[in-house]
Amino acid sequence: MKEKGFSRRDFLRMASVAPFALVLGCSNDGSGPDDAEEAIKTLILALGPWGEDRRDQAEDFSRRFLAAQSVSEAFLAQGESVKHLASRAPFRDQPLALESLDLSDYSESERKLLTSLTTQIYGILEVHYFHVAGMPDVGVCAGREWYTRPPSEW
Amino acid sequence: MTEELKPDYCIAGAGIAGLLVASRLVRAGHEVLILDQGPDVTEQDRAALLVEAKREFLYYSVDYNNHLKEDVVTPTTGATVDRLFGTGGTALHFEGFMIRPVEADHQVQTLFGYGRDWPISLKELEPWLFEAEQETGVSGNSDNDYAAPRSDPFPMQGHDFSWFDKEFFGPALEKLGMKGHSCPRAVASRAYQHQDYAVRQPCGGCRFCKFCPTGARYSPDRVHGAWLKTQPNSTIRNGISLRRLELSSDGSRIVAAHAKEVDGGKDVVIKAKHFVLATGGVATPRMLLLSKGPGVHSHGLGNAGGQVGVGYSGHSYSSLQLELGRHAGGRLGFETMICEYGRKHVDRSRESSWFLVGMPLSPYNSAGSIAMPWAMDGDQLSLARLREALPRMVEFLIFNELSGTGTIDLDPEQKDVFGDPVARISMPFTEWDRTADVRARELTDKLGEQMGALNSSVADAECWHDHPSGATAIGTSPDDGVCDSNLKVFGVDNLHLVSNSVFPHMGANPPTLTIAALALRLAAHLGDK
Repeated sequence: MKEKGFSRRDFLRMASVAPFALVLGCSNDGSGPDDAEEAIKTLILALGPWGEDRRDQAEDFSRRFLAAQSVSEAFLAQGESVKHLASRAPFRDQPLALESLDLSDYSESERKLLTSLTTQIYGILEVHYFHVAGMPDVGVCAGREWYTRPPSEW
Repeated sequence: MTEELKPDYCIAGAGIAGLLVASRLVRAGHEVLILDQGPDVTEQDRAALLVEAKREFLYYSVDYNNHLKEDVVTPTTGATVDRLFGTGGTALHFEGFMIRPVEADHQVQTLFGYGRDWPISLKELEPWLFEAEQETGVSGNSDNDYAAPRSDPFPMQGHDFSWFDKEFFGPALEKLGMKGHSCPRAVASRAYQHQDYAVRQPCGGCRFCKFCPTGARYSPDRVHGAWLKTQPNSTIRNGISLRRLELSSDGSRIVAAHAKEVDGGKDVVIKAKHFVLATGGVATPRMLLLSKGPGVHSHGLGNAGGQVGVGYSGHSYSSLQLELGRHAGGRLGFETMICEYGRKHVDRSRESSWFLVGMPLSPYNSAGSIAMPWAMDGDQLSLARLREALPRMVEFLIFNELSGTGTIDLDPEQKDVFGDPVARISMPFTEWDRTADVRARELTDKLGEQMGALNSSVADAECWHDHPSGATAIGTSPDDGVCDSNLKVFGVDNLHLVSNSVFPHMGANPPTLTIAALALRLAAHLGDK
């Protein structure tokens, strides 16, 4: 270990945002925001954990993701790239919850965009805790018993 | 135009220490003025921050001081440490850890040859620790074989162990010859009221502890701050930045505290009978260094022996994330089982003491970032694998004692918005300090093996420190400390200090409970005077 000039909280604050900003940059390439938003939504639905039976949840999440500047800004700034990616297979068919992706099908910048967006989506606590692990959503008073029981009994 | 105030007591810093001292003095009938550089946090502010954190998916990084002007938050150089300004102080967002010291923490020089001994024994401090537990409402069980003896049970029973604790963590610890036990938390496990403070509701399990909507987690502003606001002999002034303390001509007393309003810069002079600095581990030594005076105070108040800024310390952390072979269960919002084995059964002459926390992956870490490598196979990204891994993720966090070789002084180049030098922190990590990461990796690897872990994160070789402490320590004379056992600054009759800045040494335990105990002890001492 070595000396660091910032605290645990600073480290986490930086780690939650910096990788995406660094990878994607922040310059807007001039695409129309609405189209880029639709493209990001398409990617979120495909990369996220939601199947057809939870399409409503997926669409609600994607709307909130786009409205949350802290997580969406870096992706919106790559509007043309995002739109191009969303127009390609398998995304153009607007699938939900893809099982896998062969990243060799994509350019280096597209690979970075896909892995960054995937990392971002699954790094969001709501996705991790609620949508994937099946815990009560954070912010909802779930009582003082649920966490003492096995997940099968939640 | 200068505003002049004349209370009995002037307390700088409205964190847990300042508010506890104030509440006792106000209760005894004294006129008390409490100053804080930061704002008063309203319940509306708290709710807005919670909504922002939820809306922006930033459960951890949205915090109480994020929207303050830079002028309000005095920076440091050399290192940045976690602290909050405003009524409630850093305890606004603390995690409720209320862990006591062990006997050896107070005798490290005598027993192990490093750091400084406390002139106050743990036995003498114990009644104050218990009072602090009552004041802040600590939940816990008497199931910790590694803790020092306690005279009374915790005010409330501990929170139930999680399924993760019972299924994975506890059994793995047992196989390694250790025992998991409850974690003392200032989080109400039942409706709780002490004295005439407001009733706190039991934890509702929402897991938004930083902005705890029910008030189950103790926050000084909601308990002692709220009560002080109702008392006619108490005033809390926010947005007031203390600039320096003025000595009498003979150097024996503080005659005035000079401050400025952060908004507008109006001068405020406080001419109190007694002054208490409760400004934490960084601002306290800085203020003593900024407040030079004649004679023995020419290098700062209480600094005749050159001890201000010496022995600065904190905690370092080691962390590791693992993927288990099956669902790891849920997390209440804080850890319900910890292990303090490393505070008792460790040779501290060779390595630092520690305690261990285990939990399903917390909001402190991004599951996506950690699990992504586990979902990659060459160019193949398996999203199904990613979804499989997330519910199985757990983490270990180890709080490590540091030897206390840091320093704080005034930065000759960097000044704050008022033109005064900021605090410069130097925090070297010794070889002894660095034993922590090797040990942590070995320990967490063994625990992971016992839990049937499939994957682990890359070991975090970085280190940061937290809980700034020790730079104005209690000593027996100016040659080994800055204040005496009653927390009075050497050579100044009416100036007392209270915060973790006065700790001669800090063990692996987070400092909040000890700070609270010292505050109550100081209030009793001042009341007796």
